[in-house]
Amino acid sequence: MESALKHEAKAVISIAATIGLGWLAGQPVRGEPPVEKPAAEKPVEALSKLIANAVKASMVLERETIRPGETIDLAVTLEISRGWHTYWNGDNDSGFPTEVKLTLPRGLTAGPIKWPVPERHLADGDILDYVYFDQCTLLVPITADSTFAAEFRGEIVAELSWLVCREGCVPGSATLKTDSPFVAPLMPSSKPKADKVATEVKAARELLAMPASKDARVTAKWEGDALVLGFKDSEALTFMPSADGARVADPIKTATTSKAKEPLTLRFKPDQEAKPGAPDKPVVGFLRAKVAGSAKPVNIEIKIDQPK
Amino acid sequence: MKSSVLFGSILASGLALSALSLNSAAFAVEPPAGKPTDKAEKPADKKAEKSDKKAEAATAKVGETAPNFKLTDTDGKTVDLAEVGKGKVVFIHWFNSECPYIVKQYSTCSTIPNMVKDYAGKDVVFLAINSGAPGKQGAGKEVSAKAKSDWKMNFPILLDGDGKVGQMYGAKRTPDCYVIGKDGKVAYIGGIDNNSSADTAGDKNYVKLAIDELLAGKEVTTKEAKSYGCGVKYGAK
Repeated sequence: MESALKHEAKAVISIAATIGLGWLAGQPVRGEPPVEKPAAEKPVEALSKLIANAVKASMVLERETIRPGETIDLAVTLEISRGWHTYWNGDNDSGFPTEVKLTLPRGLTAGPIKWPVPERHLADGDILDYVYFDQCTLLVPITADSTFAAEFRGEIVAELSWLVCREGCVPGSATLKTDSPFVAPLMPSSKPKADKVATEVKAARELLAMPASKDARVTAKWEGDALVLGFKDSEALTFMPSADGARVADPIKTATTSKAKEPLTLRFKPDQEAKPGAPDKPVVGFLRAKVAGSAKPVNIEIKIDQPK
Repeated sequence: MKSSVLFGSILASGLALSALSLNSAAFAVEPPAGKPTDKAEKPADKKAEKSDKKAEAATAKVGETAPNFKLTDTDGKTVDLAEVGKGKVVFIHWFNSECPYIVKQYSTCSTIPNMVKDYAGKDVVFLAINSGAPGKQGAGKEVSAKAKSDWKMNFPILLDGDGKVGQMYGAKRTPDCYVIGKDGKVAYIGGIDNNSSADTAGDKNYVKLAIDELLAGKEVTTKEAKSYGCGVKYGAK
């Protein structure tokens, strides 16, 4: 029982993250300071503490200013201890995708999370999940509407919950705060100040998939009820279905191939919770293609409606 | 003043869909040749089910007789499903005392202990199955026996170390739940309830709903629901 409780220990961390660089002089840092490691750290930590620290969460805004009508990204980063993994919002057999709940000042709204492309993870017993190792940065688009004004500046609060697993699993949560962006000056004569884009956001954007419409090598063809999904001159192909789309039948066998130039032939399971007469969910997910001459795979964002 | 925006990863769409999204019109997807299939027929579902069945080879299916098994519990007793289930409603769930989603059911939310109390004296049998392979996290007699004692469980934890019964039932998570009617047919497969967090019980306990309907001689309304939990710790093939 003790060990079970240890495994269950939640890490609740309140961290106030300041927005990158260039704060106005004299601007106080809001909230609590980041958790610092004590100077004389014990070399051997209790197992529960190790497990509780399997994820460290942090948050930073892309830039410090925003214009009404503009959208900037908020980067929410989970640093994951080696060997552990967190979950994508995929059609996972197990686990729990990271959740972000934002509280925003008036005039700011958040859009859907932009997830980095995960790894396909097949565990003993044919348990298939889509996970992140080492680090996972979620980008949340934040849009300012016309009512967003300087006097409403306040905090952005993010409540995170996740599941991090290795052999066992540990649920975790954190509350992060950051100051909301400043309203950028609207004087038409002046050039907009070139705010430096936070490196975390730049790096995270590299890990997003390319939309299929932007890569002519992607091919998709319906043959009856099967979707034949290919990538020109691929050496290997994998499709990772999202939890928001149609469920793939037998993904272990059919959603991946290591045969050169072979496309994937995907069939889809009926949605057990769909109301009768409701249209089938579209095919949503990531297509990962290994191509000759490139160490890095190509990652494509797929969203394809099912035929009526 | 402040606006609360809730968008769990499960609720909101998982990919950037704005200008970057593609649909059949923007991205050249070849539609199926010939006449579009009649929506009412849904031949696609039948095909998908067939290939699904063949490929996965799990044999527990709603509406069909529950596959029988004989397993030993943590006290060394042998339990035969058909024997203990004769004339009773059986609730089987996959179990790993070290999984936070099992701790949720037994300790944090007491969902299962409360159900045991509710159904005391009624024709309901509870069975927990641990399909963890030797050496895997949460597997083996000792760990489960300790949980049985700590959580004061009055029903068997069956040990399925070679994973055969788990694979037969297609169990992937702890707790994956199966409810079997008095006729020996599987009446429900899925999650215990509708809240997949590690600490909050759902407001719909699908298992309890199914058991209540079966005890009342009614057909189960929700026969399948999404499940959640830690992966079952099967061994390598």
